[in-house]
Amino acid sequence: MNRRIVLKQMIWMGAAIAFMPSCVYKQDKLSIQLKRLQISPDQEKMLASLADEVVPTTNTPGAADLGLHLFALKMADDCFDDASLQKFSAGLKQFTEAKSKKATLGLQQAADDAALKDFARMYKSLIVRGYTQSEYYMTKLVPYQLIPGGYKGCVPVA
Amino acid sequence: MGYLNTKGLKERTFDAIVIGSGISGGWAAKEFCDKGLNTLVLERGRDVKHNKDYPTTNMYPWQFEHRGQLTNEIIKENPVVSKCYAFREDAMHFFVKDKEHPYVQEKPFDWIRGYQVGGKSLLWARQTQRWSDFDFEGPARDGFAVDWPIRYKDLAPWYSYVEKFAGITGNKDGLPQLPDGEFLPPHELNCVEKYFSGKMATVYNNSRPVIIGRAAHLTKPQQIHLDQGRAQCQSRDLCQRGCPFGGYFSSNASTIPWALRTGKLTLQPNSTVHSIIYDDKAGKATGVRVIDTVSKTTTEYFAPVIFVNAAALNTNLVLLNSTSSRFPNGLGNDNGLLGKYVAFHNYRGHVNAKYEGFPDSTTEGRRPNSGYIPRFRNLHKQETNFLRGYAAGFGAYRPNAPMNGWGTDLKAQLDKPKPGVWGVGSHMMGETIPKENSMVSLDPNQKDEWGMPVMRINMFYDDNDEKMVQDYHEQLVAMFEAAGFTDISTNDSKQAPGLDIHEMGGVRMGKDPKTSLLNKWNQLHACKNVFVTDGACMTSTSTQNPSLTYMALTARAVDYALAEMKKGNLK
Ligand SMILES: Cc1cc2nc3c(=O)[nH]c(=O)nc-3n(C[C@H](O)[C@H](O)[C@H](O)COP(=O)(O)OP(=O)(O)OC[C@H]3O[C@@H](n4cnc5c(N)ncnc54)[C@H](O)[C@@H]3O)c2cc1C
Repeated sequence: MNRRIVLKQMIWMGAAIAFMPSCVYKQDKLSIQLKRLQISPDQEKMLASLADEVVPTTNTPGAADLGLHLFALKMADDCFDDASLQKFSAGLKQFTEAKSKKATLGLQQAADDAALKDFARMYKSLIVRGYTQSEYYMTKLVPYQLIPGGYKGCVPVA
Repeated sequence: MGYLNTKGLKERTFDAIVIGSGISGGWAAKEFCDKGLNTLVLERGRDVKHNKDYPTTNMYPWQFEHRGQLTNEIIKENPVVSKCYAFREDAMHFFVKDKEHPYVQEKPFDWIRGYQVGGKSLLWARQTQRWSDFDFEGPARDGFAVDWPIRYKDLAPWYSYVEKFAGITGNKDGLPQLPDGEFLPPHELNCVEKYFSGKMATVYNNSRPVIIGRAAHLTKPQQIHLDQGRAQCQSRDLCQRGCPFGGYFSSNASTIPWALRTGKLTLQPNSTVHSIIYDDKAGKATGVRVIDTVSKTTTEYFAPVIFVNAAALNTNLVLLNSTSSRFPNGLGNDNGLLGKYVAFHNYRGHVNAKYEGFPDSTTEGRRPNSGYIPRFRNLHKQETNFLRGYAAGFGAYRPNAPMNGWGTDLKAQLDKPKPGVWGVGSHMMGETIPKENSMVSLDPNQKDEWGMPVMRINMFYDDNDEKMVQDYHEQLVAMFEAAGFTDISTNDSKQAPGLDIHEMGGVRMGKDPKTSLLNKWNQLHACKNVFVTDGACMTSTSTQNPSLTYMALTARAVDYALAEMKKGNLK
């Protein structure tokens, strides 16, 4: 895997953190400053491992390498409307409780649970988005062309 | 108001003044400067220099903090402008934010504005279809508004003139309802679009053509474009950020730098025109009062001819605000119709579907353009229970197949996406009927930060529009069914007027000073040295995107103004 890219991705997260006023409130051990979403450092750890359930690290980078749980948190925190954020927060709380009773509970399993499925799906789609919109993915896997140079209306499927 | 005429009178006197530097003002500036007139362009917004001031233009998707998406905070602060599809993280800086310039919505109206050098020309979708006599004869044939004082033949040479300079891609389709222009090579329809076009030709016996849009892109730049410093369009389809190649037409890439190179242009950003000065004794306009948006001081500038190109509604505002003892209700407003008969385009209807055909084909690259279905309803004669008709956008695309599952299975699908079923979509662009009670006015009390009266907007859909949405849905569904498309769904966005960004009228052209404000040369009937050539001048709205017509009207009006100046009729 390309260390440089992963590093850059992390710097981007870091930069985002640097922009935020540090005095909003103390979240000692969180690695990202959030404005609206309240989570604990333990939850952050849990979210990191759940992200790897969606896009695992194999012989190529996965969620953990790309810091996708931080991307997900940032997007939820900044972009979700109030109703979605509320749903996500409540779901996270419920999931955390369920997991404290059953340590093996994963995101995939939660996606089939009536009470937990909204959270599981929201989080999964944030992780998928973070992956497919990462520099790594858009340069190494499905290269994004800033300058395509043209358009062909009918070509055979590769 | 305190005047601060620090510069001498001579330095504040020009041969021509143009209010606004967007699509139409840019053209007025270019034409005047080309003919050697010392021209002052007053622009209320900041300067935006080609390339230099396109901060996001070369950014990759992952370089945007939110990957292009708007934050909840921005949406909440901007309930109006955030509805515009182009108001995203990469181009937000070219739009007016809701709080910056408030206005009163007597009825819901999404007023989408770009206040900067270049106006909305940086942001537009670049669709440039000519109007035809089916449009210019509309009001007379169907008995609404007033008759246009011009016909297609009056404008045809000017369409050609502006098209050659702006650079328009298109296909010569030979359609009387959508006249051909001076085209650079067309963009390509993709396999499904071509199939649909062919199918419709058979099913409807060539009465519902489906063609590639005509658009302001340099698919093959000519010398005149290279001379502007522009290069071939690279199909980036990131136009709203400003194009480093000058691949599409904007004032910033084309008319403004061209005019600046003549040495005749004085481009003055941060200058809001408050009103036009009318001299009772001389019986003409003599200049403009300008508020410096930074220092908030007012200065007067003078010229024998004034072009008002502030974009449709702001042009109404400037004229309504130009009161004098001769014109107590606004400049040129003897008949009380200034601000009335404003209209827009009805973009509410959408139809989407899937197509199972062409499984082995896809597209490559990007295309800053789409398919287009010219108006076919009530074209040759009245045939429905509503007046006029609609054009439609049409496009097909091949998305990725859905990706399901978890973990390594999901990752494998994400890493090598497979093409899914083709999607097709259409949206309507309906003509709306200008009505006297569809109008804009000045709020009698509220003023903005710069002392300009706040605009009141009262525009609305009527029964004709409702019927048209319904008919569009019915017709497009029938067409999609005939083509074998599946999963057909219709949608009525119910979006407020304004979001079409094609607001027009209020200072309409006409033959009779009793029922119109402008004559056939875009001159105010009652104040001949003031010309209006932006959307405000439009007598009716047609179904075509209007900006190409503003360009043609502007070039034609400047040509006329120059001739009149030569004859000594405009001093
Ligand atoms: C997302 C989007 C897509 C669009 N797609 C299309 C399309 O495909 N085809 C099409 O034909 N049209 C399209 N349009 C509409 C098109 O942009 C406008 O029709 C066109 O820009 C109008 O030109 P204009 O010169 O009248 O106004 P503008 O380009 O808006 O320029 C007006 C200028 O006047 C300035 N101004 C206003 N008031 C004052 C004042 N009092 N004093 C000084 N300056 C002032 C403004 O700041 C602005 O710079 C689109 C618009 C948008 C936003």
